[in-house]
Amino acid sequence: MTPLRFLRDGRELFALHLEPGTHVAARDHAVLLCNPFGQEAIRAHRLYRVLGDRLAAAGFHVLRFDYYGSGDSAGEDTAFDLDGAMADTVAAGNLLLQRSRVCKLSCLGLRLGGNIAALASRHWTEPLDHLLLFEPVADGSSHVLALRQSNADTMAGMFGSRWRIDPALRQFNLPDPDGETLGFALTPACKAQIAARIDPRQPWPGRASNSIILTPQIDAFTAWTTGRDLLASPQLRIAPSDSDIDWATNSALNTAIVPRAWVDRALGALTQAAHA
Amino acid sequence: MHETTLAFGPDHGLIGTLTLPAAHLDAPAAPCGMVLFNAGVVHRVGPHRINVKLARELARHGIPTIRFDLHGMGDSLGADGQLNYQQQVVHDLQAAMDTLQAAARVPHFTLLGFCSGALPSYWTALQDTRVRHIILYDAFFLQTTRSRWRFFRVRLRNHGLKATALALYLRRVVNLLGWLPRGLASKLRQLHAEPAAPVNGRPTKAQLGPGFAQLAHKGVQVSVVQSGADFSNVNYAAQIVEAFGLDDAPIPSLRTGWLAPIDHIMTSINAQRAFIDWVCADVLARRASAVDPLPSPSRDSSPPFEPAQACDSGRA
Repeated sequence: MTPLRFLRDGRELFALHLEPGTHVAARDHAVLLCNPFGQEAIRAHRLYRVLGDRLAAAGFHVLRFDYYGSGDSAGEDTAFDLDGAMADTVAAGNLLLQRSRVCKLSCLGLRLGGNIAALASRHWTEPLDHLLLFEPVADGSSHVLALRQSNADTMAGMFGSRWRIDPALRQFNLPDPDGETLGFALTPACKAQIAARIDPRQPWPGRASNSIILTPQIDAFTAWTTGRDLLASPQLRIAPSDSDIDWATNSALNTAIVPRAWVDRALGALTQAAHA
Repeated sequence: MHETTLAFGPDHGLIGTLTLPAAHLDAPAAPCGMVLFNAGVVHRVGPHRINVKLARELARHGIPTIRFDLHGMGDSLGADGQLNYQQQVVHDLQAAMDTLQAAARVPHFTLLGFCSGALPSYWTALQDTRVRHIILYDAFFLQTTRSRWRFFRVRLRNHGLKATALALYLRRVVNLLGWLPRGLASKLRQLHAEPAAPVNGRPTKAQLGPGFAQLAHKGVQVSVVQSGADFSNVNYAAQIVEAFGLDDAPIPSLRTGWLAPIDHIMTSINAQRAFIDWVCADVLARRASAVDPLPSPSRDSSPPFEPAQACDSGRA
């Protein structure tokens, strides 16, 4: 496990490189884990930790990293945006390929991290080996509205009785209902990018030999991916995620939960591909 | 400001990030550094990235920090199981202080005990003379008669005297009457009982007052700050001192704060700002008194505080 800080266009990013376990043959394959946004990234940390450890123990090089303006990377929260995160992802993938000296790269992402991985996949010269998306966002515009609602509901729930009767409290904690969500700034530029780039009316953005989407919105993703470019995404499977975790919540409950089926699914897909 | 992330500790199994103020070669070392670590199960960046934001604000004021994951948390490796929980977290915090001390030449430290991080901070302050200040945030249940009454008034204002509200109040009264004989008997037993044996070094609320006095005697300043979201727990500023039984015997080095408009994990950006401002002001105000020379060896050999029974105050 090697902690790193690297630069992408003057942006300093934190990353953790997990080398293949010492008791297993190293694979010619690296996996980049792409975080979701904001509070979802905080809640997903344990899942990513377990995924990274399990993949490294199975012989993969793994890189976990934080986008600029998130996690342990440099930048204020307001500096986070989707286009920047996508470019950070490409840089992190290149760093992983450079450090590991392997040929194959796969990307895995939860929620908005899945969309960022899919969007970034077109920026590498070679197609990704695998694109594994756990409950990606099906529609950016709806997602922005859902984040707004989640923030409002959370605030009301946090303060209980006082929220309804204390306008000063509401003004202090919710001065701009559109400007932040669950503790993180959501800038107009970022919202516009989410709405524009994650649009099911546009062609499916993924480019990978194998794509797997675990989602509760089977119909939405089936419709989005049916007319995809088959040269860019020849194999694509959509399956139910079978999970009812609310990632966009402030609740401490479930923060450390790791859906084991997802971890097994990722390991199974990546290791079976190597054996095939 | 400069940040670096590193693996440290005896097994290089701890992961942390140093945030160091902008370097001035001729500048004297800061008198104190600050150690930030996990709040509950959240990794070292803290709820809503609060540790990152706080670290950078402190660096702007010349205070270096390390934010890190305890063994088994966040990105750090699991512990080897040779130590119990209390010993392990104290060792981890000492390793973090060693690392920050080496990087920033700071002799003294403030520890931020966020919620479940309060007890590790308290234990470490009792054992390591480098700790001169602990900030304990939202760590205790501090209800008093006055706070219960104030909470009841808020609920009354919110629910009014509608039929559903009256039914709720009636149910509460019935429950209270049912509890009364058992509750009173239990209180009487407690009055006549010998002090309970310590369990896992967790002090009760009643023992924390003397504990803070002991820390003051050792030169450790204590700040207890509570958020306002859980109005049923804390709902007026003087309550914290009253709840510890210190209103008649104040401890000069104890500072308390009640941040009424913020929730436990400071969800809104304004709440984060209020928390950061309070902590920065507290650290800056107290650092002037943390300039005595460091005794050697730095780790205190005096017997640890005699702790007592299971905690009635900590939250997970």
